[in-house]
Amino acid sequence: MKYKKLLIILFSVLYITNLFSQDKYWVCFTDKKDSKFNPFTYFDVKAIERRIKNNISLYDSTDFPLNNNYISKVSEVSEEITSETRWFNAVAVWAYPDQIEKIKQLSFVKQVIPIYYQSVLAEIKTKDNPKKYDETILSGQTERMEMSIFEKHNITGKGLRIAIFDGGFPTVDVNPAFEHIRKEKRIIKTYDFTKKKEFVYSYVSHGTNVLSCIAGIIDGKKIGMAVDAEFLLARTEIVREPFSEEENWLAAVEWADKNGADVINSSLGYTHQRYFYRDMDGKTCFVTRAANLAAAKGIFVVNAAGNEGSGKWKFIGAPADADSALSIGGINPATDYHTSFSSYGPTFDKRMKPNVCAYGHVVAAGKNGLHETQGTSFASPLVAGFVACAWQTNRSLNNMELFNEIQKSADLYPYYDYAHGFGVPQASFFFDKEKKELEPSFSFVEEENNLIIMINKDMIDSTGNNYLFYHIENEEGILDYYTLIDVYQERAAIISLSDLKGNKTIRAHYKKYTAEFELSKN
Amino acid sequence: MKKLLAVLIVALFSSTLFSQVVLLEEDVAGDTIPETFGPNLKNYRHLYFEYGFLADKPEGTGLEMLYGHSHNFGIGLRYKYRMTNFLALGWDIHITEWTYRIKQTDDKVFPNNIKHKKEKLTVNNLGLEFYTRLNFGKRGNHIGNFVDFAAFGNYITGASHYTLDVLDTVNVNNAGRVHTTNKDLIYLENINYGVKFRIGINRYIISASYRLSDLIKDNFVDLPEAIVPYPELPRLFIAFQIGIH
Repeated sequence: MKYKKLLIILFSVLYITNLFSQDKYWVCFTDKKDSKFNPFTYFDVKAIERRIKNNISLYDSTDFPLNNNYISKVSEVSEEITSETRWFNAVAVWAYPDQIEKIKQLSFVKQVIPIYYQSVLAEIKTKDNPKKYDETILSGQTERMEMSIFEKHNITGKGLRIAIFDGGFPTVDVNPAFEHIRKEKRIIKTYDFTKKKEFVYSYVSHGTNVLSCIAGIIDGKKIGMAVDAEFLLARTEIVREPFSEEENWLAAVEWADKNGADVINSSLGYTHQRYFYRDMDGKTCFVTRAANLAAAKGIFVVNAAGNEGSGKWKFIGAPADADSALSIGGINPATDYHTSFSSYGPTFDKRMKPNVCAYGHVVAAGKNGLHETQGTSFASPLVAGFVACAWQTNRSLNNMELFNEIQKSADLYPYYDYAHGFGVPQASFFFDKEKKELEPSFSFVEEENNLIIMINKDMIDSTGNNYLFYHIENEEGILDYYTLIDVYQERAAIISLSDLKGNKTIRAHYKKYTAEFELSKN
Repeated sequence: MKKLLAVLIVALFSSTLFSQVVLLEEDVAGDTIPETFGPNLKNYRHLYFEYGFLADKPEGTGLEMLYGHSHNFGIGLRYKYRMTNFLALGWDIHITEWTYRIKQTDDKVFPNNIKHKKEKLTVNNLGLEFYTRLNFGKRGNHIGNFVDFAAFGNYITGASHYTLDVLDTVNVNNAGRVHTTNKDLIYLENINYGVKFRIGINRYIISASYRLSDLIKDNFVDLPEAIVPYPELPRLFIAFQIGIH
């Protein structure tokens, strides 16, 4: 009697254990034998143009369809096939452990990879108060990147096609902020990858906010910079915060490529729910690899750095760790430097991230008009709009050339750190390439075993910000330390050289001027 | 005195005037040292609270329980050592209180046949547990979905038998209600042991604790036939635990 009950409990536990054990996997195939592909029927004309421009073959095997026999054989031994990816030659399946063991034995199966899900949209919170928003933020979010210079040259993102991956786009089909886009039929395609249908104008308004930060106009005021761009709207996220699947992201990126996207804006990140920081190495996460593959096909990928800066995770998420994705950090409009929630770099393999930054507190168009909201989710589309405009200034650049130009245009360049990247991109860079000689705003002075950063007295503003950035870079080009100081005196910083080991570069930036000091200890 | 004050004011003013404000400072080398302590890292420990109910019948006759009122409450410190992403071993130390509310029936014999308004037996344990954890699903630095198989041993730090009587007329002390607490209960064992199963999703856990050892001493169960033997107390508690992490 006593042990009978124990057995019942044990069996109950084992039953529940079994319930837990069904999981989702990518099943990657060895080849695409016998698959037929016609790029002229598969691709949008813009996708073909992009390939030709970037010298990418129209018959790249990553674009070929999967082998149908392989799919049907996997289907026979799994619970369900939910999607497929041409780029990775794989299908997403639900399967029990015994089924996945059988799948692994199939001769055409190259690899089985567990699917990670639970992404987080990089939004902090929304104050949905249509009447109250800060006009200075609205004008500042674009002007901080010198939108007026683009406007002066009539640059508005025209001819560029931007794909947005998000959780929904409610009211975009009726909202006055997007009337100019609808009127010119510049929403080229929409697709809801979570429900496998075209309608996306519902669900969470995060995507509406994001679109407005790229191209919204309300009462004649521009919310974003690329107001004349074309759009592909993909719903890839199921709810506002967690629980989504990277397979939607992957499907959407292939869809965006097929439909001729020039730029992809993605405001989500995969972090601690499914990954460790060690996975943020630019090659482990599937979405990161997909972002790099999209870049290899000539698409400019812009991704939010994430909002983990003040959380336990702290660092950027995937796919912001992709080396070919422009990762966007957030600054606070009130202070004009890193906003606390914006995720930090570097990547686990010590590459600089984020690449650049923009306002992380913005005014965006939502379901009920303009409102203030915050998150690197919105810094990312502000930069995506900037990217479209910058590309319009020189369409002969390929995506990675433009990537480098955007970094160079940023206001801290060549200085960088892992909170701001190279700083905020500046439109003036694309019209005034001649490097002006800047008057040094500071100098390095060696005193015994110390290095003093001496600020020019005339350049200390008694009313405004006096931000001195400096970092210590090791011989591998990795930062050991970086800081930002609001300066009130000439002797702004004292660095003890005796504490530093090995060869170091101390680089500082003050009032647009960057200089470096080489310390050799060999 | 005035001079000193003036010097102080000047000192304060000048220090404000010339102070630098560090707005951001990151020690990257220190920051990126791989951590080993975390929910899904090599080592982890956390506190937890437990509250549950009795879910079993007594063995023998002469004792019935009031189930909604018979409960357990516990606080523990749980340590987890990660072997792989799917397997962990660990221990926990805990204090738990088991409360058995006794139904006042005509055939009640435990611990006597006197009926009261309210009667309960409370057992306080200090325990140690060793467990094996199987995790399911992929996750980052999270506890995730898991099943624990555990064995526990408890030392009974205290026990009390409490009764409440409401009198028809006041007693010799001119009181209408009498609360009685009996301690040093000689019919209880000093230690007990058993097994546990837990099913958890991150901090939320359902735990089933089954006592294999008897709580009532043998000589109170196997008494001479002339005296009614004590029944064994119920063995199973089903509890909800919440991990603090």
